[in-house]
Amino acid sequence: MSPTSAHGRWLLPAVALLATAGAARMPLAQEPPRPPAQNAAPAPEFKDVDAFLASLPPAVVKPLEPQSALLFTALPLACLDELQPKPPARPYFWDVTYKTVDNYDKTRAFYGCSDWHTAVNATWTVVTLLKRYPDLPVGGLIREKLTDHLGRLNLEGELSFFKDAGAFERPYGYAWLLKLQSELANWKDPEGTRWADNVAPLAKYFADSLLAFLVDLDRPNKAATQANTAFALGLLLDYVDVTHDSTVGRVTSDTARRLFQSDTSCATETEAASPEMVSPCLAEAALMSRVLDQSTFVAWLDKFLPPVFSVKFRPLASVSLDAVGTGRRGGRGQRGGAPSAPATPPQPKQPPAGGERGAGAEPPKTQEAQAAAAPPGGGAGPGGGRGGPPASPRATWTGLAFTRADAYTRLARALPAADKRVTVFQRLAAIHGEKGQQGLADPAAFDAPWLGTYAISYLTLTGGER
Amino acid sequence: MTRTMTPAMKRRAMRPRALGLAVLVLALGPALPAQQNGSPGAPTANPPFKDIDALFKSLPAAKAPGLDKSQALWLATMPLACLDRPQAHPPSRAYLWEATYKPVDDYQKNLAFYGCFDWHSSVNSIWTLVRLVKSFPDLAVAPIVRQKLSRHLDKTNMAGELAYLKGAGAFERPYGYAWILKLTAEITDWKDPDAQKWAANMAPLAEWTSKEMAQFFKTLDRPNRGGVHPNSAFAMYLMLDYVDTIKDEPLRAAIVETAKRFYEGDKTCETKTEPAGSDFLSPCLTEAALMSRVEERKAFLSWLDGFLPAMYSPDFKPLTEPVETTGLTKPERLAGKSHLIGLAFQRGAVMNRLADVLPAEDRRAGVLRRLAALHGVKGMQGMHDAGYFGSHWLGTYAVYYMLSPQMPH
Repeated sequence: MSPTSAHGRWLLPAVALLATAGAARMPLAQEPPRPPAQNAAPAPEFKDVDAFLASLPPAVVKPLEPQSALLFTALPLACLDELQPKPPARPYFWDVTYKTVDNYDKTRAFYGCSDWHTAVNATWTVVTLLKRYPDLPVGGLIREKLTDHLGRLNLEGELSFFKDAGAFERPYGYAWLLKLQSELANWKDPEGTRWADNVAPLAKYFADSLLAFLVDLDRPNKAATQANTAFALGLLLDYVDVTHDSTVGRVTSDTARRLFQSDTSCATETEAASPEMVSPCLAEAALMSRVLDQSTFVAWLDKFLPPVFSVKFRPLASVSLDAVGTGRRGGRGQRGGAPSAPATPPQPKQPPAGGERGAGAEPPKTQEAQAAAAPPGGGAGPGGGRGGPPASPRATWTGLAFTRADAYTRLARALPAADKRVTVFQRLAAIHGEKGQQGLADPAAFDAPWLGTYAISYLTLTGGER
Repeated sequence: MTRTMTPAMKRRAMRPRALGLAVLVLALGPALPAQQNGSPGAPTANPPFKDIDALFKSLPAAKAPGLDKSQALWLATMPLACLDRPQAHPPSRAYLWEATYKPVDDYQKNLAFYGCFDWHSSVNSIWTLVRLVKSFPDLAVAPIVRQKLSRHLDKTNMAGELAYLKGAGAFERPYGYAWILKLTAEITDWKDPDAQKWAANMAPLAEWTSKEMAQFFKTLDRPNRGGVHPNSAFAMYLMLDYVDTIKDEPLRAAIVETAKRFYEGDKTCETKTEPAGSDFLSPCLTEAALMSRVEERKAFLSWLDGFLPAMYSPDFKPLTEPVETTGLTKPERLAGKSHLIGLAFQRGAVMNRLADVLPAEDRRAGVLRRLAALHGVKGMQGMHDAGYFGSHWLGTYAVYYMLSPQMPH
């Protein structure tokens, strides 16, 4: 839990109250499949914040409770031992045969759930849920899985692998591992303590490696995927909130200010052009709300986000699970973004030639080939990496709903109480949270265990638990 | 061509190298503009120039390297030396799946572009050989060049390439695809019996590639504006040579529509942040060069005025200074270093193109030609300074630069 979660406990009731306050259902309230943002019909520009607020539909987010917690454990439990797929592409010029590494179940921890970071956050999910609901009927099963995956030897194998793995899974996967470690470390449970001890050396290695990475990072990645720098920095701050690791906290905050404080006029109009799981503008704003003092943040936000009632803000006001989008982003629209983590770890024993596919400033070819094999937008979801089953557009939109809900919650908290946007952001959080919960009911969600992870991240942030 | 460079390398690449500069400068001009300090966009120590004449006067004289027969001979040896050196297999250290690789059977008969480090470099190395023998038919190495071309561009090789690409998704798209089309144009345009045979062998691959690229750009929502392979403007710019030679109107229409959609509204390009540490092309100059071939001349000139910052302004300064790379010596930095060396040729080539489009009396034309020459000189100095990371592709960029419309001597 973040230290501010107690503060958040009033949020859901407040949202429910607002919901019954008789807001008229205005155009935004209906849910026609929304065309891609840039093709949207000219939207009415609202007169002011109040008019915009009045236009927003009511929304109710169901709190986390034992039944939904049980369901949320099912997805990770079902995928933790389902082996990640082989790389799908046949490399040019080479015939290739694959076999699993020897004793992978003893020397690796996170080999299920489509890809490494999803396996890590699936583990985080079951830990988080078991901590909050110790009486879950699947508690014994969760402990069995954790014992199998988080043994000392498994984590030693991970560490030795990562020492030679270049930029693989950095920073997003690294940040999730640190979040997992923070959950384990403050779990008052003998087994939890043992698992935390086992994970600690890897977490330490990742923390050190991330510090060096961040200090050297001169441009953020602003993609709408998990490669987004602001998004990953937010995860790191989650870790800092729990562990109070002041070194990571300071470097993360410094990096955020250095990379983002001079940003103005975020390109909201290009958001959600295709299924994507992160809002670059909101992720950045949410991050800055955590690293600037209030008055500095308010001044920064005024320059960064368009007025909430303006047409420019419209793409951020709602998400449709059925939107088709135009399907393909033109690479990163940003010039010279940060390197994204390669899809496969590099071969360290090779001359630097081998690193060409591993640690380049651009997505490696193998990843390009994989992305191409996926349907439009499939690469956008965290389930789409590394040749795993591509996330359906619907699942990706659902993920976006939760990551936005999370960001809006943080924005609402960071503003002064008298700021009219507080209520607006709270409502937008609820609208997106509700939409995400609708998306979870879709069968497509079962192929995307990370959706539950994002749902829980958001719900625990708001204190929406019973 | 390679893709590796860390941000740390990048910063170091930009560090001032006063000593290296002193050696490189032809020392005819007054003080060379200060090398860029620190990170991109950092204010430079020198005050900005008063006007474009002041900038021009500050530039050292330079003689642009030209393509003659002796240059051609040694430039041809680089592609000859890499064409049959097989590419390395992908990294095999695995998290879960261990891969064992062997070259596909009969690859010499069924594939063509398996040398020169990577696929696109193999394609553009062949383009280099074609271009050189076409310009200098009695080049001493012409017979061996023809032998290599016959072996690589045979019908079965091209059929195998097409079959592979059809199942390879985004592999080498758009950069490698653009080079395939450029190569096809060069061969098709060569009045030589062997070349005509090779052109016929390549045609099915090129036609398929052209259709793929038209579709790719028509459905792309936004351009890639980076300084490496996926850059959208560069691929389109290269393909226009094919479009002009083959009269491929559908592809021309796709490029023109896409370029206008992406770039027509662009203003004030961020020249001040160029280059990123492993760039081998200039996003701003390349976009301008593309637009010069897409827009009517008059419309282009007025677009250019809004797009490029004044050449004497601090914002443009990074483009007036070839990047100093001599300090990069560690093996793990050579890949990124080779990119920065190649960047000099690419900048030079598009600067010459822009100078060629500007009215003769436009003062910017003279500045661009001088800068192009300075960059060309710099590229030639770095050519052999990055080992195989450089030699497998820099010859191509040198030739490409030398063929750009040069300063009249």
